[in-house]
Amino acid sequence: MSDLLEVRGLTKTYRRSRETIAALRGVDLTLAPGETLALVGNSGSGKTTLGRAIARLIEPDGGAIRFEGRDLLAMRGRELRAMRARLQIVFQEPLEAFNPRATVFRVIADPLRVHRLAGRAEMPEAVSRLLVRVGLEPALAARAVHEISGGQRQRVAIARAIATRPSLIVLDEPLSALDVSVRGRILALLDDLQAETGVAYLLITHDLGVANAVAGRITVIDGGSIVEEGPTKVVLADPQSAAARRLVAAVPRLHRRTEPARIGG
Amino acid sequence: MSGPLLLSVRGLGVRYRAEGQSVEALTGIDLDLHARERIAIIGESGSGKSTFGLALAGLLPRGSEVSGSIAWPGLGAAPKPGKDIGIVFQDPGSSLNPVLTVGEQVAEVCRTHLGMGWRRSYARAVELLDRVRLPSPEGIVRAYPHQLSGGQRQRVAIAMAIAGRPRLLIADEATSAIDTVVQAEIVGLIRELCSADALALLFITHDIALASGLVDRIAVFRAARMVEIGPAEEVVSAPSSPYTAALIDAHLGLDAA
Amino acid sequence: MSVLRFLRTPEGAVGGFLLAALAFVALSAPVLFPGDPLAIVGPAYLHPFANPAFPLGTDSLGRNVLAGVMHGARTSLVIGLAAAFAAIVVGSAVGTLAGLFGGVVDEVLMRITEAFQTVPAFLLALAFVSVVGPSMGTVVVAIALSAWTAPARVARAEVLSIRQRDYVAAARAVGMHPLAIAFREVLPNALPPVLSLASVIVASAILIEAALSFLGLGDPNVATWGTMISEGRNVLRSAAYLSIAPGIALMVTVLAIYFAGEGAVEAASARRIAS
Repeated sequence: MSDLLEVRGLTKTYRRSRETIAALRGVDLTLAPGETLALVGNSGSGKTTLGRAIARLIEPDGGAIRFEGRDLLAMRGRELRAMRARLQIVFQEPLEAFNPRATVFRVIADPLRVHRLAGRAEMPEAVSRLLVRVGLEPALAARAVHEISGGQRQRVAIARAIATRPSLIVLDEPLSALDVSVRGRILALLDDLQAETGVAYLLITHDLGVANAVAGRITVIDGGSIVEEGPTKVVLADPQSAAARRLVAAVPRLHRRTEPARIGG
Repeated sequence: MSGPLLLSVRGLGVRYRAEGQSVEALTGIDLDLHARERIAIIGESGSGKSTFGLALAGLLPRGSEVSGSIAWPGLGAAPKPGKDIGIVFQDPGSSLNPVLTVGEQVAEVCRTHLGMGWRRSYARAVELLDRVRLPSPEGIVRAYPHQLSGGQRQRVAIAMAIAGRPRLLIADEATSAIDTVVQAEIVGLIRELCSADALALLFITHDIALASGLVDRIAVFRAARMVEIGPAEEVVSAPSSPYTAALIDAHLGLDAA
Repeated sequence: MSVLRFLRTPEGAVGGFLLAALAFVALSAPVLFPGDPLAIVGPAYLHPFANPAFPLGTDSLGRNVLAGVMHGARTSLVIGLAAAFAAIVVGSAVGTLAGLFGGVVDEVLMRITEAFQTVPAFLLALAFVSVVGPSMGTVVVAIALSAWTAPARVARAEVLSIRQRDYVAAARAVGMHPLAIAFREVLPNALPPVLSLASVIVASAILIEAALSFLGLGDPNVATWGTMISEGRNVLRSAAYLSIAPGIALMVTVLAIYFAGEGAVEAASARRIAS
């Protein structure tokens, strides 16, 4: 099968007053249709820059991105806006990712309206369907986004992302602002949606525990370069790079009693 | 491992008033904390875990109704926040003053609570920044918070928290806003400082796995109540409440998924 | 609910009450004193409270001072509100464009803004009215000419920070048109701090209007407080009430607007803390 996404030699440098910071130093990456790839790294590793460059929210300085066989970086204006239906993004801070004045309805209706997937008359029905699909009550549509809980907000963000039936969703730290107990339920939802629609995920995270739960393949980024890449089990069991070893060591472990002392259950 | 009784909480309840409504944030909390003991308060947002930390530190917002008692047998007097209790919050970006250098802010705590002059306070600030393992503390004292990374700022916040030589350190989601690698370093640092300074620790977090490697006892809060408390290993290995069991199941570790 | 919160602040209560009273005065003026407030209706120099038909007396020509003050409230409020409205619309449009497009557009627009800021507001208004000639319309334009710069700068600063926010990135990721992003996502969120300037702009517009009228550059066909004060000035020793009555009206109006503005800011910040 041909690749859904192919990134070659991507570079990006930020200039801040006198110093220049190389955020991406020639990154290569491929993603197959329906696959989940975890892009793992520390803060400052360049993983968010990479995710946003792929979502065409940041202009890279050099390199190439092919998406669905087309040159993503060459797209402009109307063509680029139309492409966005196929490539969506979910942000880390669910509250930051919504217009503070918006209602849930407006957030989910926006992509449907922009890409003409539902007319004014069908809109309430279409929004309700998406809300139910991500496990929320249709009545939530009338609420303001700042009134609902963090977990609900991230579900709304996911509903917005799947509204246009994209083939790739960039998930930029979708769980780190959420409580541990909510994380599992969001991951289960993402799993369900993938099984149903065949969408591919680029999951950006600093937490290998999260990567382990959903991704078949892990790529580790450090200092703007990919330092390690492989099947999740292999990378976790035998990390080769120093960055990957640090990340593996940093995942919190449950300190259970050494002898299995669970009586009953 | 732990020493004499430092803190005794009995029947603690807190209600917030907002927009004419009264919301129950905590109810019927009993807890004893001994000197040098480390305890984790586990809960989700809205469980009351942060309110508990604020109540101990005497930092509840105005208009909160407090019932029950908080006694400090280990101090003999009401504690001064900042001196007897050091606190580290989740977001060091907003708890540090952006227009003062890091050194000035750490020195200020020494001056206020230890009665030192500016010169000695400043020298002490350099020592403290070294203790929290900031690279080249002589340079960092002159830096402003925005020049530091999130993890470095959290180290500065910890330096400020321990500057008054407290007996109790409260860390309220102190590692939630930083990545796992830095989180592991900060937890290591807290563990080390607590041992070296014989500090008691109240570690407030939503991550039970993170807490399980750090504390002696774990208390689980849910909807303003304490649902479970016990030795860390026991709570993690054989939780008595189904809620705690669910929290443990929700942990995303490196075991085969 | 937010109106209640506004009225619960002391400034909001005082300002709201005074503004309501002023609005009542302005609206009831044509009912209570129909006809031209500049018409001669009685003997000259009638002192206040001397004749129940003229509670505030009459001026040198025998015009009713109370009718003048009440009709003057209409002039002041209409000019103040119209000038502030024009200034905020123009200013926030300029600021939004500068902040959103950046680069050359930003440079050019901001240099123009600064050029307007370097000329004192009153001198600019004075020069404009002297050239174009006094009328309600030109006075409004003259005042707005210098008042739009503050909203422009505030709007630009807000837009610059909002532009970096994730929800703007999210709107781009959805595929929204850049103009839709500017007017649906960015501008509505940039407006509240701009609107908080409104009270200051209205108050200073009313003062500039009064000063222009005082110098004889107001609309000669309507009653204005500035003209009344100016005319009373000639007989300040014998008939001080002719200047004092419109003077107090002017002071109360400006204070009321300031208080209301403070109350609104207070209520807005209380809401932010509560949420």
